[in-house]
Amino acid sequence: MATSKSAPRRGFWSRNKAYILVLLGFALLTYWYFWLATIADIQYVYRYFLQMLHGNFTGQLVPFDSLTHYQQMEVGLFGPRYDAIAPEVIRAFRERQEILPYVFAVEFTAFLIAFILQGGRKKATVTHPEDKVQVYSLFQRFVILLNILLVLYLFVTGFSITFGNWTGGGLIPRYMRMTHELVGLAWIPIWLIVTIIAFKDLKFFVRPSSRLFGKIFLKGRYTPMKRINYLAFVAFGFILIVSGFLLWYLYPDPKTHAQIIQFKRLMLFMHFMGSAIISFFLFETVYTYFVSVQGYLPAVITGKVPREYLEQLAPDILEEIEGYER
Amino acid sequence: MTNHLGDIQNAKAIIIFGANPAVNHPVGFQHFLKAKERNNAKIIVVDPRFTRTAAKADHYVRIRPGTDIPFMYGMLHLIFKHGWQDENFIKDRVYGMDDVMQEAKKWTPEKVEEVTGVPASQLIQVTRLYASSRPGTLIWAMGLTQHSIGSSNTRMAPILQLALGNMGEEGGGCNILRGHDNVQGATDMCCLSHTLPGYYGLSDGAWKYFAKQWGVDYEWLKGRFKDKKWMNAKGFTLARWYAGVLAGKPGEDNIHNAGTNIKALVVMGNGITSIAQQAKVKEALDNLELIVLADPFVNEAAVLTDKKDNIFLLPAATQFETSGSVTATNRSAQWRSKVVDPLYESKPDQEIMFELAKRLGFYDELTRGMLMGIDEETAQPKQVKKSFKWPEDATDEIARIIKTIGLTGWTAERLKKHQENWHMFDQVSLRGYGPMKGEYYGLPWPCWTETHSGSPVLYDIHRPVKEGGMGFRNRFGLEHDGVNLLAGPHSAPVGSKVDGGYPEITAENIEKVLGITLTPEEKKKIGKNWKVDASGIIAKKCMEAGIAPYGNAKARAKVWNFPDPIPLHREPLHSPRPDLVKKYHTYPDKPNHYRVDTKYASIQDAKDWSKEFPINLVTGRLVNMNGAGAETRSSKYLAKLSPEMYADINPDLAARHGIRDGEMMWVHSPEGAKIKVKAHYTYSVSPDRIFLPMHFAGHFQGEDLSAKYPEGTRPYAVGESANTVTNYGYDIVTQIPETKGGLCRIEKA
Amino acid sequence: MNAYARMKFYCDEGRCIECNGCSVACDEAHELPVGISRRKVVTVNDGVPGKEFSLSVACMHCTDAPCEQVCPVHCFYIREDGIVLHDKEICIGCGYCLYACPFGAPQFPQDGAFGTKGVMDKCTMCAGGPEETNSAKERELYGQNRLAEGKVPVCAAMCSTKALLVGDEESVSKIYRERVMARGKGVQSAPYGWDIAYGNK
Repeated sequence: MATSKSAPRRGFWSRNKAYILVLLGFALLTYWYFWLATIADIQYVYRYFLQMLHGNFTGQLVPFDSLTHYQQMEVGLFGPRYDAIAPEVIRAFRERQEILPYVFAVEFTAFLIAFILQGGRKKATVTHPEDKVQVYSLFQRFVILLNILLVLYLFVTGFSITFGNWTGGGLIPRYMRMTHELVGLAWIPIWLIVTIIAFKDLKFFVRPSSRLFGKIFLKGRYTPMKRINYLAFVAFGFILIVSGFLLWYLYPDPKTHAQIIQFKRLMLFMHFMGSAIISFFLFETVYTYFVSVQGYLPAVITGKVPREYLEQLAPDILEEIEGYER
Repeated sequence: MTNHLGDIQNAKAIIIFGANPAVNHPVGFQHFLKAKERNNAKIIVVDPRFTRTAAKADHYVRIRPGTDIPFMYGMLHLIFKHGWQDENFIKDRVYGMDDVMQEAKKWTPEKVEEVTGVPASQLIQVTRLYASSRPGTLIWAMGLTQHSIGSSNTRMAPILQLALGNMGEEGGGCNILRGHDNVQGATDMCCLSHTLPGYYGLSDGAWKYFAKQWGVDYEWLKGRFKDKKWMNAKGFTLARWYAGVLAGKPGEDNIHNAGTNIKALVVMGNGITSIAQQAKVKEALDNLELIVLADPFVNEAAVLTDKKDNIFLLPAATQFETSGSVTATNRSAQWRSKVVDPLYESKPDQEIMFELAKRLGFYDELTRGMLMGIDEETAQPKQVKKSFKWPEDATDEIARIIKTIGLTGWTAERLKKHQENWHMFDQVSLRGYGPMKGEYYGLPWPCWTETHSGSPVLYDIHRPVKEGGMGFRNRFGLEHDGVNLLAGPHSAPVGSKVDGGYPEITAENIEKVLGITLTPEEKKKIGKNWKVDASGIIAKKCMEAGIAPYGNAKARAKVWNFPDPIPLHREPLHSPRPDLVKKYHTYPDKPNHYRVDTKYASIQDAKDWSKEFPINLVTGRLVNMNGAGAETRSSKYLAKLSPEMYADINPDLAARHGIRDGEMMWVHSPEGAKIKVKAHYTYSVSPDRIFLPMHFAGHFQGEDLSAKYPEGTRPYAVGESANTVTNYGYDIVTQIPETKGGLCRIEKA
Repeated sequence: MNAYARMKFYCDEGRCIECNGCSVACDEAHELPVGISRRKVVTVNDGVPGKEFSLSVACMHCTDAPCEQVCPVHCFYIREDGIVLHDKEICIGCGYCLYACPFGAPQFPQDGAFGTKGVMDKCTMCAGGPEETNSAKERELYGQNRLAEGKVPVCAAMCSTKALLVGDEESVSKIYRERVMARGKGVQSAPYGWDIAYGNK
């Protein structure tokens, strides 16, 4: 506590620039996407969302009875308003396959520049390597590592579908696609647990008192960028999980096809968007934890970190641990 | 059918009562659609339920089940009132229409609305349309026949057609769509309990004619019966055989069966779940001493019964593993070739019967008819060969013996020729061309001689007899109550030597009617009348003279030997309208009706059924299923379309009972039986009735009987049988069960 | 001008009676698993007088087929006669084609690991697939190749009322026009689905 108080008060800009920049980026992206680039009928999608609040998921906005005979034919057989979302789904897919590699490349370059500007990896000078502090409990290590593995697997298998033009299809990509669905299901509880234990801002409301608290919730406080990463993980993870689960759960059934296809198109579109956006934050997380700082991975694996490491790189965590020890 | 399916394309109006050809005759239905498309024919569907057929109709009339007679009288009322009837046709070719006119006067559109539920304005609209669009064809099927007044219904419809002069016209006629493969053939061969093959009846004369033709001793035949009385007595019907087992138990109907109950049952390819009163059927099966079931699939009777011993399943071959002629709904014969030899140990039906006859010791008598021929000299039947060839010799035997409906021309050779050349026939007129010129496809009966063309349209006087023309049959004498029953002047088929009515031709009157003289040799050979004339002289001479051997008489609108000489409306035994029951009361109980004392008034008067059972119950078929469904439910792709038993129910009715779409519900019958089925919401039924498909079996009153199927034979789809809850009630003449107008009660399961 | 005829499907809602002859014939001819409906029949406004009609639908073999555009592994190929086919050995069963399809044609068997989607199956217009024509493997993967045998696709061959037509564009259009003319009413601009499937051609 004492350290943070003694730190010099920084200006509004330097305190909040991460939020402002990310929000600005989102605003620009949203504006560009929904007002300039999309070929989906945004008015339709907006009204569709409103209608879903009333429990009608068919996507048929005007009453079926009011349609002409010919329109009824098409809606009754194929579902409503093919033009509203499907072309966007098709285009979104093509762009992901063709443009996303460039987007990823740009993102990598950005992180590389940041890395160079930062002047290489941050390191701690450890003189007493035997003086270690238990930072992660067994439970936390298990959850974090599992989360890393599953997300990695989902990332790889998910984009193996998108970049099918690279994989070329066939048996192995097919199994990757199948396991994407199953691993995605398994990730749902892990995502939920991580969301809960990584909610470091809990400490604004609850004072970390018991050791058990420290064994469940992750220690320390978020810097703005890490908070954004956390929030993106929660928000876009939620979108991916809900849309992914529904895509899996609403198994293609010829009998109910016309009623649910529009909803499934919307879900697929959201899954696409979620995966594209979350990948940025995923890269950012990987960069923040694994690339820009040395020693995160051994720490998560063993759970223990030299005290000096914490003193130099994560004083907030050390402070919290000392709070328990006191 | 008086006409044929292709001929429907000639119609200007098509009125359909209690039939659903779009579902039950999908291929035949293309002719209806073509008539609508090309001929601008108007389709009118009168049905308790908005069927797939109704969806293609110009007018849909939602009628209360069992009120077809008032509806048709309502039509006649308007027809006679406005003079739309065909006066000349009625005068020359119809007997007893005056009585019908009297009755029709009572049925004003308002009264019809009161009884049938059809708005008066709609009746007027439909009648005007139908009467002004001629020729109009009238279609019916089980929806008209399966009532306690079914026989009256089936007379009412032809009366309507006679009044409009629509009989014997291309594009007109009464077209009854038969429901199963070869059911017309089975009827013609009289697989029935009240007549010998070819509708010859059970009189001594008929027995003696057949004994002679079969080459068996009449006395031997007589000896097979307990005593001679039973030789001439009608047997049990399919609908009431169970009464023959259960008689004597409390509450069961009495029987008249030579003092004994039925002890054994042999079923050859008949679905037991297609018969009403299934709870009784089950009880009867349980009480039999022996059950033999010959079927390609496991007959549902074996699953239904609790009986453990003395049930035999004989694997019968399918139609693809045997050959022979079958008769289509339009009286056409079609030859069918064998595709594969019978699989495994299955045997065709005839072999099963031959083997049975061998064991019972009358194989020679059973098969001798196929060895017989006609002696050139005497024109008497005699044995002409040592062995027979199945099925050609059986077909030829039928052609040789059956004269009543004119099967003389149906020799195996000709039928095969038609099969091989079926591309040489016109779809709409059935006329052959090329080598088949001068013949109609399948030689629709009557096909009077071995060179006759067949008769595509019955009672058609616009074509010569030789090419299928004829008047109405003279069957009931020359006059009744002082009225001449023969047809009036100018009503003989074209090219006829007699310009008007004439009696049926006998050896006695042939010279006089035809105006010919027979040689002494011909006189020696000729049979007593056209029905038993093995020599074929009568038919031959008649063709030459353009005379139909069965005479040219008036059609009877009034049938004096029936319970109702002219059709009268009578409420179903279980009527939802107690107020109308008093006015249109059913028949008194009928003793010894096909050996069973059958209840009518005592059921209808027992209580006000509608209080406890307020909902009308209609049953019917599904497009993917056939009969009791043992065959079709065993096909996974067909079962996929309707994997479960369900009830069509109007959402309004369902909501009143708290039943949601897809939920289970109980249907209770007045007889105390019940079934558990899935509710299927649809507006095709009105809120006062439900519809049950009739093809399911394998469940009984909520109990799953799947475990009773022999291993590997359980069909893909099993469910409750609709006939567990169809009501008691049988037709006064034919004893067909009243499955299309009963009552029930529903509740949430 | 294309040297090949353009093959098209057309279902006449004035004639379709939901007899399911087409769908059962298809299931049976290609021995499909029960969960697969390459062709299905739908009734709209069931039981509502004056409004009920039925239609049979399967893959329409679109011009510029969306499924082909969206497939990440490019397993689709379009024959010169317009028939859209796909290679099951490349397909990864992702289902994108289902979301892109205006007609709900792609089908997915539930035979993958733990009941996940297997590879896509759809109407081939009875034209098999990329394997050797009429080989056992083609039959196993794609069903009958009736076109190669000079036969009509089984659905249209079986159609009880001849509501479902298949054939080259000109012949189908001709029959359609004849029927519209014969009815003399209810003229509609195009056969159902053709605007989406084949553009305004």
